[in-house]
Amino acid sequence: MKLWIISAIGIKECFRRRILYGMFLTAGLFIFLVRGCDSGTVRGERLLLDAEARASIAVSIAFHGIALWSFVLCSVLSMSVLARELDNGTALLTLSRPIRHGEFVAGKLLSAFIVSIMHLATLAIMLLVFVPAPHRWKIVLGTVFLVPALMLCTLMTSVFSLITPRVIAPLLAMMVYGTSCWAALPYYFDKLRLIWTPSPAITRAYQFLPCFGDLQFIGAAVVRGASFGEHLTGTVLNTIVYCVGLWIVNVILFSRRQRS
Amino acid sequence: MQSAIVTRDLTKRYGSVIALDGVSLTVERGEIFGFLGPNGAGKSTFVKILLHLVKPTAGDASLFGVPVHEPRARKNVGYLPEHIRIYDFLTVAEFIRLHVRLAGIEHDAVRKEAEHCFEVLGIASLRTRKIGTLSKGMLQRVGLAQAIIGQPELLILDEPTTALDPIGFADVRRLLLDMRRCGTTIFLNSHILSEVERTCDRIAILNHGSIVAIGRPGDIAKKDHYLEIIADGITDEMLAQITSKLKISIGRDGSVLRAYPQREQDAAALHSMIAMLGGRVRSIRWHSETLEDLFCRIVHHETVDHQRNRD
Repeated sequence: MKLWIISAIGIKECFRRRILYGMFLTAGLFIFLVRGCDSGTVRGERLLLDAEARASIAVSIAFHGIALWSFVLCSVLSMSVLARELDNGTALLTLSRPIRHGEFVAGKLLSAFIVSIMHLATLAIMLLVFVPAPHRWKIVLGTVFLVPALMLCTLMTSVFSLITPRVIAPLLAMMVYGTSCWAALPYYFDKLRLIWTPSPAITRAYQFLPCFGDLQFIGAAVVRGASFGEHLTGTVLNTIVYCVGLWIVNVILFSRRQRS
Repeated sequence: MQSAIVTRDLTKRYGSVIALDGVSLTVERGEIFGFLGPNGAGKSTFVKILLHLVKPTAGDASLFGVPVHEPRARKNVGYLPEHIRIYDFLTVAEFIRLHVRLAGIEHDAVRKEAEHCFEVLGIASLRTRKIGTLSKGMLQRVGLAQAIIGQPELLILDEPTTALDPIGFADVRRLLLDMRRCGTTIFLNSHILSEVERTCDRIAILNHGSIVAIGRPGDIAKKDHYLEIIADGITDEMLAQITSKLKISIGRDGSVLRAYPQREQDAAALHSMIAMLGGRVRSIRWHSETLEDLFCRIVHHETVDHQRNRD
């Protein structure tokens, strides 16, 4: 119950951030512009894309676009939730109530996560409305895979914000996100594997990095109606382990900084 | 029945700096306890340890018998920090309702409890004002309002009257006395010694992380009840004779003598002995230190000792 009370205040705080509206409007404008584009005729060197293939590519690009946009917003919101409480000293009064540090941390992180989900959901709905797609429900299903990725992003950015200057935290989180996507590429694109076989070092890094890339590519595969390969179980396990681990690290770091 | 606050050998070190050095203290239920000390003595650290906002290096503390690390220890505790920092985007009403909910008050009673706090602190007119637009004094009242939510069993106030005008000052005193009548234990950190002297049942003086005096304000000051004598013609030999005969400790600063007799009758004996030995007494009077004198003397004395030990 107290977790939701803290979270409600956090959500209110997030909605005061102008960047939220700025990013939402920018994303909305791009999605709206897609509607005005004439798909025309796309002729490759050896193939002619039909209308459905073109729509599928457009939806995929839009999906990856909203994923990237949501990660950026999520990391920007998450960098402040705990670090700002410590810097401003506003946590002091709340923590003098019968609340565990874990509850407080969960409530604050939940607020950034919820606002990011709301942003993602709104963009996905706009995508549904403005972009013609043969299987619209697949967009919804694909977006669901971004939810755990946003949770990971929230937890990771918050950890970075507690150990580095606040502004660096989203950059670090986006670096991890980018590396994870890059490392996952050959495992989801067969044709890429023909020209690039990942080295054992890259494979190891891929296995141990948080599965941002996997979650996004699995979501994209669902949107395209393609199969998402054999990586689902590993991705789910990796995400759970990372979420639990990062959550514990968040609580420990916050408590240490608060009580020091 | 468990005491309101019990600490045993509470120690807190920040690197090489000792903020608290083995503080053992018991505050009984229903008393107003004043915690005094100069800046940097460790008062706020002590309070933060009680609220589990700071972890002690050693020792333990409990509130009503519950160790402070357990959240239930803070269930019936109200706290007003020295520098109150609140989410400035909330209105006063939203802030108070937030803390009413965090205090665990039933959902149906939230509005009623919030209204009660507004009324007691006289801030009903501020309900719709944003926290960020309040003056320091108003903010202090709002902070006090959140501290008294749910009629806490223990109220911990860190400099509650700092930003208040004389009317606010009097209101706070009245509030504290009313709450004490209702059985609330009040732990008051303050620099305003006259206020502490008037309000508190017991006080402790903290300096360099250690308690250097503890007791009732009157009793502590009484320990330093002395006789001030202004006399002419007093020689060192005369003083030695008086001291050995009357068994009284006497200090001297020019023609001013400071004697610490055990009994009231010794004043007359001292007067006659000075006259008998050829001295001329110009004035003689009992002198009691105020809490302020006592505070300054103890803190100054301790600081000099501390410095000497460090050197």
